[in-house]
Amino acid sequence: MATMLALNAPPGQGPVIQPFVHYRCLCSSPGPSATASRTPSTTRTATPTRTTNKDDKDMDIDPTTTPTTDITPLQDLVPAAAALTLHQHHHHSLEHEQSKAHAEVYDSGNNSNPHGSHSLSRLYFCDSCDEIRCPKCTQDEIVCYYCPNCLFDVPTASVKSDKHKCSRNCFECPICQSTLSVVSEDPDAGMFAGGQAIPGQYHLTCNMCQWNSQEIGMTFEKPTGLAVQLQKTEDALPDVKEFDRLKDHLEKYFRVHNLKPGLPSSLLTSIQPGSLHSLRYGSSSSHKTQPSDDISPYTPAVQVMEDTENLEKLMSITNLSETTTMKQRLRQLQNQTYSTQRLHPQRIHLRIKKSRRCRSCRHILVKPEQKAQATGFKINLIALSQLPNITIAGLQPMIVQTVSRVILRFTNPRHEEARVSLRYGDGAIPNHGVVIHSPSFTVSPFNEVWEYEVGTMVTAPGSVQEDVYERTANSTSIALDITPAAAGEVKIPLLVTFTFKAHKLQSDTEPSALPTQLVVSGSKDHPAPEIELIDKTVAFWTVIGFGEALPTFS
Amino acid sequence: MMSRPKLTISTRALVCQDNDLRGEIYVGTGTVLHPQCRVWATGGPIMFGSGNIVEENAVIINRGPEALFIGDNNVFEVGSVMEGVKVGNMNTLEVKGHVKPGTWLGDECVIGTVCSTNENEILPDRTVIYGTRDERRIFTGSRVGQAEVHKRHLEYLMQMLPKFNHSRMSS
Repeated sequence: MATMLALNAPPGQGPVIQPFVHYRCLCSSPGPSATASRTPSTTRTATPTRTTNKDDKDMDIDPTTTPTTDITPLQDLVPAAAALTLHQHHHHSLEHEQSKAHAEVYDSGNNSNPHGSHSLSRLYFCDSCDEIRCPKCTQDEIVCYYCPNCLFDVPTASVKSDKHKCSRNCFECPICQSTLSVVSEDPDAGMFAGGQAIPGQYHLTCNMCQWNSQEIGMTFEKPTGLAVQLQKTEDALPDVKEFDRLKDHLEKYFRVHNLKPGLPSSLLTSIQPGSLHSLRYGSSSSHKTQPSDDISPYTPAVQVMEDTENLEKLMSITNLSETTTMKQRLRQLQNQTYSTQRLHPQRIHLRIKKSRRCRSCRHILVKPEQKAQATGFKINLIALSQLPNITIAGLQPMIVQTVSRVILRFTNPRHEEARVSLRYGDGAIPNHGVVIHSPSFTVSPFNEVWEYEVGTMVTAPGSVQEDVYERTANSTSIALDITPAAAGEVKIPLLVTFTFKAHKLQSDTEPSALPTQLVVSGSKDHPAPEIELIDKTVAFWTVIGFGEALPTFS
Repeated sequence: MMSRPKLTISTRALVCQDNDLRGEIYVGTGTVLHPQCRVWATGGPIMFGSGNIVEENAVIINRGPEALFIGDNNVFEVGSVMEGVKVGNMNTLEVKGHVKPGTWLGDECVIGTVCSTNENEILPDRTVIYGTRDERRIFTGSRVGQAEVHKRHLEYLMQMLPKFNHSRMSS
């Protein structure tokens, strides 16, 4: 629910409920039978006839009777499916299954529960499945690691050995966590190459809080490769040495038997069931373990260190600035010191770039460029650029039992003209009265040239002027008359069917499934070329909230 | 409000035209006042030391009856606001930094970007105010090369500003 913080609300009111438009992903549909119908193979082979109108496989809109997408009630799908069977008997049973599944998916979205619906900016659109994908229906994978400061692409192999931190000169200030810069004592060091080398000439400074690494006595000989210079002191820390010894001791019990070639073996993957068992029960191993799996006792080389921070000093702190904040402390996990004097600059943590993949068809939806400096994407199939963006362009105050007019604007991001059909879902509780004045209309394509002509009203040439409210460059606004049935937040579910022309993807055709008696498109002899525009239809549920309806003055 | 300011500009100081100056202002040697800055000596006079830089959209207001003494080598960056009572030497008011009324600045203080002091406080030397929540600390050590950088900044301004801006004379 889109609510405003009470801080921003006018005084004297509670949180204000804002209007919103959310789109529903199919994953919010319940029931295992619905998911069974969603497997690509069954539906694709079951609908070879629909090659002229390549439909969304869950919400088939009947294309047989009329080529344009007039909305026919979904109950007609069963007789329509029956009509289809006159042509292909062997698909009859599959059609029935499909229509049942369609009915279930229809029912699942036919409510005004905002749970499971997302704003369009959060959604992706898989163009091979022709479905909306929410973040849960996609999985992400790491593409590359890079340092946010020097923008160096770290090769994946050395990420682990560098402990996911930049191994060049990038450090963060222990006080304010901003980036440190390397500075030389000699102000003219840059000008004379190889002048008199002062020992400890270079040190780190913070531009934001003016912290200086000379305060903790950290200076460097050369301005480059600072992480390497610090490596020796890092490795000499007693807890690092202790961990290495422990790892060596345990490693011989964690021998990997079936190591996949090429994959780095981490200690976790190499734990065998037997060795874990013996760790827990000591030498009395059960049938599964072998005698050699018993872990010999391990004595640590370093005794547990006394807390070296002077308790007296801690007790006598009067000023809060003498202690570290939680944020500063948690950056330095080795010792998590209380005193600001013992904070050291940490190497900067690496960042990753992720790519997103559709869980059903395994196609990549979002793929960023490999280079760290490049912020663009090689593949960017986000819903914002594929589906119409619905916004509320006009809103009258809502009062129960009173008709109020709402203007919805549909913006077409595609480069071809598209058709939108709307249908009000009656499964919402409370069921408000909704009258859609233009249930089916076209939206003009997006054209970059028109972006510079502000506010022009352009009617697409040749289109029938339907009863739309307004038509601008690439958007169409329509009017809805809403009669709230009850006071409180007004939310309506709206089934949007979006028909657009898209390039036929090569992967979509399964030549074996095409029955020969059906001719695909107008072209007679030769098979359809790869680049061709075919009609595709996507139908999805949306939940639109209009804010609160006031009770009638009674 | 005086319509014509009473300016006393030293030699080798540079006060550009197109800025909003009111009241009695004394500008020391080597000080540079960029165009589009606002120096209002409405309550009392404002006395600049040497080597200060007041950049565009910086505001310096003296409402109090006493004179506002600004020391040497201070930098008032773009959009900063100075309403305090006294400024020492080598301070830096970063972009949109705010010194509230009644505050004294010591030497070598840094008021960070969009940070502000409190009213009527005396900031000790070398205070740094930084971060989104106006955290402070006193910094030790030197700001390496700061004096050198400032000197070069002044030289550059003295060279370039007269090429593109007219300068005021003492009145």
